[in-house]
Amino acid sequence: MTMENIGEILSQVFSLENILFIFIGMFVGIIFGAVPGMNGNLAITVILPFTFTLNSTGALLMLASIYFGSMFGGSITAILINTPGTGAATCTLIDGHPMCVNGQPHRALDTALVASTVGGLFSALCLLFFAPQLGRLAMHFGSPEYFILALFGLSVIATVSGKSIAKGLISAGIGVLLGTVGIDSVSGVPRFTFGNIMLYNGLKMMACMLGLFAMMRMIERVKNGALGKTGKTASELKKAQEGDKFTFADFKKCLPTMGIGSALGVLIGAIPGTGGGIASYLTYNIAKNNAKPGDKFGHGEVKGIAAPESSNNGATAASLIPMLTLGIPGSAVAATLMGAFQMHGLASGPKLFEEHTIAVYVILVGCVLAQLIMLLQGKLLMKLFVKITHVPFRLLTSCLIVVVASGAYAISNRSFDVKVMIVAGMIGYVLNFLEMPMVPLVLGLILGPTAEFYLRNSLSIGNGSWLIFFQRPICIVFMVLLVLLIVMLQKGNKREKEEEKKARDMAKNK
Amino acid sequence: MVIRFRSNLVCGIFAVLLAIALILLIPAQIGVETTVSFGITSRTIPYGVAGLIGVCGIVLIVKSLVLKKDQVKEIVLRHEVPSLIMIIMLLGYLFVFEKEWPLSTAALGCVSLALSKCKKWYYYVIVIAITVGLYFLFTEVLYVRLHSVIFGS
Repeated sequence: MTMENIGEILSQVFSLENILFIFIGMFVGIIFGAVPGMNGNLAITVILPFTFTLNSTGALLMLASIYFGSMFGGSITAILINTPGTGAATCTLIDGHPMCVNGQPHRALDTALVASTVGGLFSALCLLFFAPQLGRLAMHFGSPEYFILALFGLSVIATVSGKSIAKGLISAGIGVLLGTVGIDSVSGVPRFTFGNIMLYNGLKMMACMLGLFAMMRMIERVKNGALGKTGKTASELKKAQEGDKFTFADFKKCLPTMGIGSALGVLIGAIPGTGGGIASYLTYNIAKNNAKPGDKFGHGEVKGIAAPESSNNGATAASLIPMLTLGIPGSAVAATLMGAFQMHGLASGPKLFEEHTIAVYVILVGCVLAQLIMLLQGKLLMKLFVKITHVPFRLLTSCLIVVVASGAYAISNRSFDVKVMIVAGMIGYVLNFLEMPMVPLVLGLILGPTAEFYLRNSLSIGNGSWLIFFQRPICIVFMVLLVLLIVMLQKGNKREKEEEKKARDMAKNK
Repeated sequence: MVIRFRSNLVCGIFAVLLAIALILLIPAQIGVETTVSFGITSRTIPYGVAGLIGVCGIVLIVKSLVLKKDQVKEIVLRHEVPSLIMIIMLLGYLFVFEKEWPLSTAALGCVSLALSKCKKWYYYVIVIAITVGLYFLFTEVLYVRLHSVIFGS
């Protein structure tokens, strides 16, 4: 590429028109990501027809920005109202919401924003400089590698099970079973459909999540409202808000976690069919296993927010790598974006970089710029979002019930998802009584079907031999890492118990 | 009236019952494929998960009854009345929202306000306004089809 080309690319990226499109896309993406039930894919689909009259690069930059913005937007509701806006944000609520409840919503949102920007920037730079190499690496992933990767993700159950691993496993088992509902994609046999044709397509993950997290919590909030338990008092909030800012010390503390999260996000995001959900749980697991004394994972730990947010945003731009370099859309959003590229005359695939060099690099550099605009816009919108926490308890509960009911309908424009959401909410309410953790259930729902599908495919490839998992280098590396992770987890648990014992002894001596 | 229960014990019994129900249900709900399955059929994972749930349930029961590691939880039935009414309302909502979305959704929001003992009338107005706003946003901007007799769609 000549200096003249680079100059042309930069002049196009930094044109007022394109910057404006990125701004608009980012805003739409954040809003759609923040509303439970809506997502980046829906936003891109809605906006796509309006882009036909725009210039191609500006339009595609706007659509890509919607995708990046929606990923960050998903964390906003996860933190503020314990309802993940997107599937990838379920991990963020483990520490994000407790920090918000403790009176530090600014700090929680700022952490998510900074981590999202770091992850997104790293991902966009990798897309810009290493897209072909990463695309080729991703192609070495076959069913056995996917299966081990899913196992990696499922190992997180032990970390997010709270006090009882047995309860966490039961919860994860229920999630896996919910994931099996519908036509079995390997054999074509219907499972747990009870003769209901609507169940043949399976249960929508988002509908289940809205029920298990949002509706269940709303039922509880109605009860608390009736009992007069409407949150912290003004003086308690004022006291907690004294430390409500993301400091440089926080940034320093999170930097290694964000580094690991971004790298993992890019690696996993580049593999078609994976996405930010797996990446965020994996990074959270690693961060928790490397916890230092004083870290309060599960109770509002700043690293507990930085880990999932850096990795799920790290996966965003990287997930475009197989689409741009090989013409393989790795996710639903990537497929929609691929369609958008085609409609604007840029057919994805190996020849894209040769035939439309300038246009492609304008978009790739624009993706880097979009991350910085996300930081700026996130900062500006933050004050507005935090105001949600100031909405009176009872009013917020009722408004959320209305929003969640409509959000469930918007998932795929069918009333069946609303029914799934309400039933899931009731199940969640019962499970909550039994003190069963919800996060393993969602984890089972996300990763269970993936693990099963790739296990069966792997065995088909290996003619029924389990040795297939020991014959592939990437598989062996992942298995070794998995064993290491489990050993680290055991050590972490032991250390946690010792610390608890010490704390109890100290309290006794006092 | 107060109901006291041991968390691990009840959870364990629930898990064992769920596992038994699943084991009985799987043959009726999951057919046997006719193609080559290499040892793992459509039933393998559900059976495996049912087994895991059952084993975990037994572990919890042993923890509670033998190792005496359990916590006693309390449910004050009187306090649960609003949640129970809310659940009944949600069940009712399942049957009406397909016929009249804005009215049923606004009613659901208002009932939740009433159940949480809200006396401010303008909160009810805000909830109704949000529902109507969402209805028009969905139908006019996002082209999501919501049924309404009132608005004629």
